[in-house]
Amino acid sequence: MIANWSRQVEQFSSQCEWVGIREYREVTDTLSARNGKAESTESKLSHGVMIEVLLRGQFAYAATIDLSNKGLEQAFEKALAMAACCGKHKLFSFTTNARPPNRGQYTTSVERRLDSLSFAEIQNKLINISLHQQTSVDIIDSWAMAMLVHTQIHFVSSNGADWQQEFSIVSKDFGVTARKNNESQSRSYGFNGLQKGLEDLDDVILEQEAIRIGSQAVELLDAAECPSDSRDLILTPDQLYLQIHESIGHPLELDRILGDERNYAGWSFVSPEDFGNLQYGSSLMNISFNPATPTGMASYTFDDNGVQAEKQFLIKDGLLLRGIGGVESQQRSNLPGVASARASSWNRPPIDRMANINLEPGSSTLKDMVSATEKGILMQTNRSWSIDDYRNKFQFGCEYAQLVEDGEIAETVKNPNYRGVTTAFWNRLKLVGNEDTAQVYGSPYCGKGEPNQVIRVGHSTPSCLFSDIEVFGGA
Amino acid sequence: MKNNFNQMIGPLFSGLFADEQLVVNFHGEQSLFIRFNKSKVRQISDVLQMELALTLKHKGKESSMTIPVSNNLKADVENGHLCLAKLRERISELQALPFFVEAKNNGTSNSVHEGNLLSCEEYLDIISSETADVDMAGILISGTTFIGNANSKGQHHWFESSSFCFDYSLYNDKEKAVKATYSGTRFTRSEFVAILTDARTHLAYMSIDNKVLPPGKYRCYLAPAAVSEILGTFNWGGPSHSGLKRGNSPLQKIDDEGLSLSELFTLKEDFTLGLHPPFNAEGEVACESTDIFVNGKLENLLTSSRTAKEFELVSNFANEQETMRSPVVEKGKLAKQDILKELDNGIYISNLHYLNWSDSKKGRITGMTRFACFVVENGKISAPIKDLRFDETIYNIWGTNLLAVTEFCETEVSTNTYFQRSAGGNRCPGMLVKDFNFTL
Repeated sequence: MIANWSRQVEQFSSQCEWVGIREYREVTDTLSARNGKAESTESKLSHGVMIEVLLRGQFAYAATIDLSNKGLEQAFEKALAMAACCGKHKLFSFTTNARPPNRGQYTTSVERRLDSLSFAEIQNKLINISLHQQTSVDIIDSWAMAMLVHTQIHFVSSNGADWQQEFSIVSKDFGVTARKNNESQSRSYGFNGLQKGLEDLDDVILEQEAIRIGSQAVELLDAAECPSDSRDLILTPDQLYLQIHESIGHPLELDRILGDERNYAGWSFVSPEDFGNLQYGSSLMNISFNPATPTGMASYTFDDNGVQAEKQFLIKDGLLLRGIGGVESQQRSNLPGVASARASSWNRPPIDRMANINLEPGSSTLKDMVSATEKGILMQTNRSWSIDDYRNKFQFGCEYAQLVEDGEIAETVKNPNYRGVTTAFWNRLKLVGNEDTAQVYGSPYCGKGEPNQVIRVGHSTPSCLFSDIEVFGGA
Repeated sequence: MKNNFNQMIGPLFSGLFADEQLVVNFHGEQSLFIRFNKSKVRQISDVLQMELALTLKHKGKESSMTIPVSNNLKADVENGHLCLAKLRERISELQALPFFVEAKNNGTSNSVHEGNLLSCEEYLDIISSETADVDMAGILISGTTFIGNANSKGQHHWFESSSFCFDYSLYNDKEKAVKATYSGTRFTRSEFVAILTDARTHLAYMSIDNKVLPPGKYRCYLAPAAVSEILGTFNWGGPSHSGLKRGNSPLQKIDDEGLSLSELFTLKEDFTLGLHPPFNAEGEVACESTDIFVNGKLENLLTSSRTAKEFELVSNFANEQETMRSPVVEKGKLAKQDILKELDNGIYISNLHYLNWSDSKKGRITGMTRFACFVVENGKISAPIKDLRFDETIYNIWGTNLLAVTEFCETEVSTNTYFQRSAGGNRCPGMLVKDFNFTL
């Protein structure tokens, strides 16, 4: 289904400085089950091309589902006309050096292809999970879902770029709600998407996790409210990945720093002069952009400008070094960036996005962190998130927490939340977990951009200990 | 695009086997997006897209598949038949759904909202010349969206709307901003300039140095755009009957304890706004208006036919997510000219940002102030504030702490363009509340 677009590129290239065609074909299968019964199953095929034209320094984009010659010609004419009328109104004058002529390919490594099981077989796995979660009569709702995505991208340009990428992604989540005496508590696995095959839906592991989820939801019904005070905070990867995403990933996006997102997603507290100077966090903090993270949801070889992606440190020993911005933002800002211009699909232009933004492991075990805590709390699994438009003042809620007293895990508490301000929080990073505590998390729901785009991001992180954080309970 | 839809569905319905039912949903758009930064063009794009979602139902089983629609009828019909064959094979293996909803003929409708839209060049000439002396960021969206629904029982609905929306903000050299939106079916320079001039006036207030307020409880005026943000978060699970039955509702306390909100608070779903079609993905047509809260008393939750089957309720033909598609909060008696006087000493909040449930089962929401928010002292604007985080329950905001509701409302057209341009919007008044809880 992925076509050879060289002839069309050659046909159009004489009328502009540069033209590129990005074909995007994606199949998404979503299945679910609830309370031991089948729920909905749906598939979506999205398939179209984006024609991108550079004329007198302005890029313009026309997306179409009409893949006939006539359809492509109409789209090209539109892009050409839009680029022409932007001439005197353009923000920045680009050249073809913003579109390198790279060639190559990337394919997700999988053990079991996404089509190696039928819909019925996958749905039976989900039904089985929802049954295993029902560990008590207090559980009133038990659900499970899986989403399988197969994406193919082919990019060809008039200056010689020709690359293809093929992604296989499996996402899953499951959870329960327990209710007793007018108290309701929900507990879930926590949505996670990884570049993998169906080997990710391992029945033995899923059944064990389902029983844990069901049991912990029931445990929360009788748990005390999370205390409201300041104490040390241990976060596990199923919460910390979102902390990294919101308070490191987004503020380092160069298009936010340049003001492109001011009207929608927001600006950033980071200013251009902070690169090389701002002590973002404690000296234990090392943050990387790593497009080669195994199973990372946003692993790739080329971004959608065709720039080859490679690992870079954004923050080293707590010092801010580099932003998350593709070649266009790097040229506009004269700041160091990474290959991170990405489009959500064939119908959107690339913008600066996170890919895999990771917190590098340290040397502590989880036991070390608990032992080092006199008065603290360990929180797991995100349930609420919010941060301001400059990415400073945040508040997160988790599903499950345990108090830590005198170096030991103590009682379970419900409705745990914490709040803080970004750089103050990261400068309180006291211990960083080792490889054994690390996990990769991925979300397909990072929203940004005008027009809006959701994109897949990945974050690998160990568990970490933060000192003296404001925590609080429910309403 | 209506022709694409109609010509494609006929052969698909004809190709069904005995006892099979087919429901189809069409979405199409032809849209222009111009993205601005510093009053210049950052990106410009045009999108032509069409897709058809087919749901095949057979003896208690169903499965759905969405396929792209090109302008090639023969190829599209072939794709549709291939899709049907795959669905047929799939549902033969799947288990029956416990709460299966049969397709029915829910009638026909045709709603076309025409517009007189400008060309890319015309938009750029007006916007660029009028904003050349100010730092503006935002997006212009212009074009036509198409929504169709039909089924093999003879049901047929069509909704088509041509409109533009210019969603933007103005900035001063202290990085303070004012938000504005201009939407409609006919873009005129004079209407645009009137809204822009109003925004410029507010921006002038923002040149005063920020006042940093400590966290605590404040008397606040929430402008319609701020109320709209709270309503948007409430819509995420709040009106859902399924959510209540499954233990995941912010209205659980009302159900458990028989509570009411303030008598000043009335909320309904009202399709007479004309921004969203009243039919859902099954083609069921909701009432023109459904009361949710009337004078603080919960009257109805939104109930889909699937939820109705599961919990033995009566469907009011909500969508599958049981969210309000066209919510309207009723106006009150607070006059525009009395807002600052009645606020007296407190905070004027124009916009809120990044709201989320902080404790959804207890109805508590957190979020940030954004854009033009001011300290008001003795009924007069004193200074813009440094952004604050709030954490507050709907039982306080729309209940015990609600002091007054404005006598005017503002209509907000959806600017959501995730995946595709969305239909919809809402209509909200401003609200005066006491003891609004700021935490950071």
